[in-house]
Amino acid sequence: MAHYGTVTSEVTKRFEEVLGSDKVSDNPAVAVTYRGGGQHGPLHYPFESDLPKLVCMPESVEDIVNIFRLANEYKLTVVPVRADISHLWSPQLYGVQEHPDIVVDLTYLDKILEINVDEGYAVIEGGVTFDKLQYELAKHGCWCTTGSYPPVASVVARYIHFPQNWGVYERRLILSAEVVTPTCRVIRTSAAPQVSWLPYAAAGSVDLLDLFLSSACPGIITKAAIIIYPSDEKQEVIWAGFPSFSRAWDYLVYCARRYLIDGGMIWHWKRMVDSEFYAGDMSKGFLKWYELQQIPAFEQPPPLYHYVYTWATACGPSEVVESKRAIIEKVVGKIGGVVISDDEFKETLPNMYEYWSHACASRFATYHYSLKQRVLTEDYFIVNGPKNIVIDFEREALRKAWEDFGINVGYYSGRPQGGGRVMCWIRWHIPTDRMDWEETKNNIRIHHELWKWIIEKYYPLISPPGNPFLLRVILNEAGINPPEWLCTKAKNLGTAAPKTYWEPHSVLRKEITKILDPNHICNPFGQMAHDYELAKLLVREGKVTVVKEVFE
Amino acid sequence: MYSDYCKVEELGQYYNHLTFCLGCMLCTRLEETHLINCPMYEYRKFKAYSGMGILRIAKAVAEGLIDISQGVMDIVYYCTECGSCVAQCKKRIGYVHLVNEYFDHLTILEELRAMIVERGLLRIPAHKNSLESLVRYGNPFGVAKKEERLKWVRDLEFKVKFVPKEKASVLLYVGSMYALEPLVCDTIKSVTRVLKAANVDFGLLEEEIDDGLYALQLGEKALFEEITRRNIKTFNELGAETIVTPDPHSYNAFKRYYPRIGRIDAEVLHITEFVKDLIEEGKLKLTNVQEVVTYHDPCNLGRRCDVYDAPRAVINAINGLKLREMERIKENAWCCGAGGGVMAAYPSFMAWASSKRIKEAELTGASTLITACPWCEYAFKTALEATKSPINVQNIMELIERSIKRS
Repeated sequence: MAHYGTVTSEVTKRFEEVLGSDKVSDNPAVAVTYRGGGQHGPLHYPFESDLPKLVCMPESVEDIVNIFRLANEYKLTVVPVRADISHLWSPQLYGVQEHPDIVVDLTYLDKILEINVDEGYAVIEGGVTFDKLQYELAKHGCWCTTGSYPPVASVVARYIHFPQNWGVYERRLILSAEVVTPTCRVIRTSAAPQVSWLPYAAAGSVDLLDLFLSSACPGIITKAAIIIYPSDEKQEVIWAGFPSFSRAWDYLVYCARRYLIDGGMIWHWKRMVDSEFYAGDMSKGFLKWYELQQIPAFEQPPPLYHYVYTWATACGPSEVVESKRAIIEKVVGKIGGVVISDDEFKETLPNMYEYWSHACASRFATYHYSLKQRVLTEDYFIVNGPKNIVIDFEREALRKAWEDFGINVGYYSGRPQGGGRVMCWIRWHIPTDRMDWEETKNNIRIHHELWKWIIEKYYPLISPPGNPFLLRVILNEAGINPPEWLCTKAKNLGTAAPKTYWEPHSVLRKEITKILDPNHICNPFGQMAHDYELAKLLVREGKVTVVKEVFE
Repeated sequence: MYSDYCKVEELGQYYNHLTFCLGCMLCTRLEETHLINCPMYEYRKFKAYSGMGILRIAKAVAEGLIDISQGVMDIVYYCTECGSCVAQCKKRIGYVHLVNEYFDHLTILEELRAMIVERGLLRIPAHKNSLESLVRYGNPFGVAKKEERLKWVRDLEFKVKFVPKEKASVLLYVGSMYALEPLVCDTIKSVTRVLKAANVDFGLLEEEIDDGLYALQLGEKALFEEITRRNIKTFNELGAETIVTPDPHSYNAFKRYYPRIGRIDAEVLHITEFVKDLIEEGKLKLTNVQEVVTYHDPCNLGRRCDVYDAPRAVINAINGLKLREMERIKENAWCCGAGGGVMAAYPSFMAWASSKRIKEAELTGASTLITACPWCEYAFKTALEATKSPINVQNIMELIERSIKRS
């Protein structure tokens, strides 16, 4: 275990000298508001973290470099946050911010440096918030696609935090970014054309999500160029039911390739097999993804239920949306589907209706929905392991959620990880009336129960996906020769044939920390996250038996 | 007992409420423009200096994670108690059943401040002096002589009644700020002149004491309760039908806080509400004033007591006067920075907040910034020099007086 320093009054003074006394606080009462890396506080997450010892407010890249310099000197851990979202937050990385010494609040880095409507991009600093950016973009008739909740969170941090964004449109957001590494190096990097969950999309260039999410790679994003889109005047959701998966698939492909719809989803009446489905290039990859998934047979629905349901949105100027809708409805009929009214949908699948009608209907929906109507408390879990175990997990999780709690569970699965591994992301949402404390408490209990069940039974499966390809490019940009093992010839992300499914990630992490964070100031203790430690504990106590050998 | 007023005594009993705060920080911003509207958050930037921060600190105290300390004091006395966080939380988050008259961000703030005072941790000299002065002299400004409170009356060109010696149907409760602060005491003279012009049968208290809200805001709950009981007794013994006050702080105290301890028999009105009625009844004749003005909503009158329309109605009643609204008005108004004890403890913060408001007023193109609160008036007038702003600052009653004079 690495040895860390402590924040003494002398250390605080050094930080104050660099940043100014009003930009540094060692007040515990200030620290409580940054507890847990300042993450936006869902009630149901079971873990709490220590209070940070120091909160710093840099005003410039130079300040951040100085913070890292001093943090290295005193060996203090660093967690960057903006408002309520940490740059390093993710379910896999509790350990990163469990013992924070310094929290770096990027509030001062909140300038929108450029909005280029013609080229379709904006350049923002790392601390620019969603509400500020959308407000400014709206003046130019544009918007960006990051998550809207909480609106006072950094756009960049929010994107990294929740790349899938509660089901709201997930288009490509970050084009390139400026990152300060813990070694005080300022690097500039490009980003992958799509989020990395889909295998065909991730292999293009650097993927920032993997940089921050998967690899626990340290650093603070100080500046980012993001893609902006022209605002839609109108957006309509079209629900439809189909008797088979292939018909629903054909329908969405037909519409997407003709740019009739902006996004779509398919899910089984009981289990939500979904994937964001966008117009244009995405549709080519979609089929491949489903092929890779090898989706198991579904259960037949009860009377009045359709076998599969689709959700699709048509966006654009009002007249265009009207025309699109008319055409889409004809397509649904021709392919053998049925257009479903809002009321019918609400009656048959209230849980799904709650989710999709609000979370996906509008780019601002999560924001309004979360604040003004019933809130969707969300939780998710990623397992990454041998295919047979993941499939077991997936089936059992779906069954448990449905039978024990009456909730639908969404999942993304099938990303091949090499060595016969697959990844499965189980996600569940529970509509909650926040006005009703009893209901809220009950739903929190459900979240806890599901977490507990997953932790106890499947915890050792959890592993963040690694992306050596990404690391190689990052290291190139940083002027560092990548290690031999990263220079894979394979196109499948280079993770082929690992000895165990833990290995690529842990090796990756070691390499990253060695090169970019030698003192482990952004990756405390240089070990797996908090979860891993808990998992080991569970194994020791005999509560986990599924893949016990992993720890031996 | 104080528990009658507060419903729950221990911070721990708020715990369930405190856990409801999601930490979304929307309490710091406006929905429409996303401008930060919490003065202390905008000034200090640390999240602790916000409505959400106050709730998180209270939660941490209730959990035993941190103790009430100097560090907590440093934060909670920065709040101007403008109530913007409450307004935004109510409006945007919808914890309507939680954010109510017995629980909101300011209730928790007052609880924290009370805990600091109880434990003897209040180390801000200005506040200590104010509390001591309230106990000894009945005002927070350290003015020992009782007659000082009525010194301004000597400047009036007519005689005013003093109750209870003389009978009057309307009690004009002046408030400590108007009575004792030279920078704003011209306003109270204007108030009396306007009432006189409308032939209102009003009287002043011979021995008026502070409304006590300042004591509560600084954390001295017992003193507030004592003053409140004393004032209620005085008011009820007078038998006045109406109590009119030009100070929104007193108005807030009488309307929202006093009823939790005791009942005031008389109707309580802010001077703008009273004057609005006078104008509507035709008792006040106003003439042309060719001027462009803008109006600043005092927090204690607007956000805390929902009086937004009466001052505007009064301004709009003056012919020729053009009211140009600022970007942030009514429940979205930016605070002048003088409330919650900030004026005494952190004058530079107050100056910063009021300067921002003056700049916002300048953007309207108005020549005069109108307000209806002595604290706001004081903050703006002191900031004028620093900002070198060409704008005038005037109380709404001075404006009315000008309009009457012309007639």
